[in-house]
Amino acid sequence: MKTYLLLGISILFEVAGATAMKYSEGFTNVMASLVVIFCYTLAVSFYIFITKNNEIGMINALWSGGGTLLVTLLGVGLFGESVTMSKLLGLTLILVGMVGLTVPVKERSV
Amino acid sequence: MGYLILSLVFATIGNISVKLSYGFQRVFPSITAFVFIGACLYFLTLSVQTIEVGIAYAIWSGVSIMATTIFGILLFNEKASRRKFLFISFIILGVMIIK
Repeated sequence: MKTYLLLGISILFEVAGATAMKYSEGFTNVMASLVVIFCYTLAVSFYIFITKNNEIGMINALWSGGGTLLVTLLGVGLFGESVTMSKLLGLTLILVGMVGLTVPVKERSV
Repeated sequence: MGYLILSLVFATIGNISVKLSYGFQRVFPSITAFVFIGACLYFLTLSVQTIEVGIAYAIWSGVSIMATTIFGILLFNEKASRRKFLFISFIILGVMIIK
């Protein structure tokens, strides 16, 4: 459970960093660029802690997928971006993938 | 396209460094993890100056998730189950459709 809490925090910083990146305009805006560096440093630090005892392949997929999921939801929720069929389909696929990877498999008893 | 490929190479090496740092227990990979991921983001930013953002990100996230999974299996003996491949490909597909 602690892993997923840390992963959540890491994704939040990743999303904040990605949002600030839009405002940095190719790293020409100094303030936004500093926010990008700050957020990504924290995001990667948490990422490093999580991958110590977990598979890098799995955590990386959850990290990227979770980031995209959140950025898309924020875009629609906060910035009034359009809700398209492809967005809904993509979000559903990511969600199914994340749940499938993280929910432990029930061992079938013989 | 060259910048995008460079960014992907750095992303992959960065992810390997992340795993090698064992939660900051090893100093050198801890430092290179930040350097490579920084370089990867820098070149990704450069690549979207010439390639459309949506396309660049879709290629980038798809390839980096795939590469990280494969290197995790090859270098760190991570599980190569059918279930894992299935759900990771769901995530890759979902990310690519959105972006």
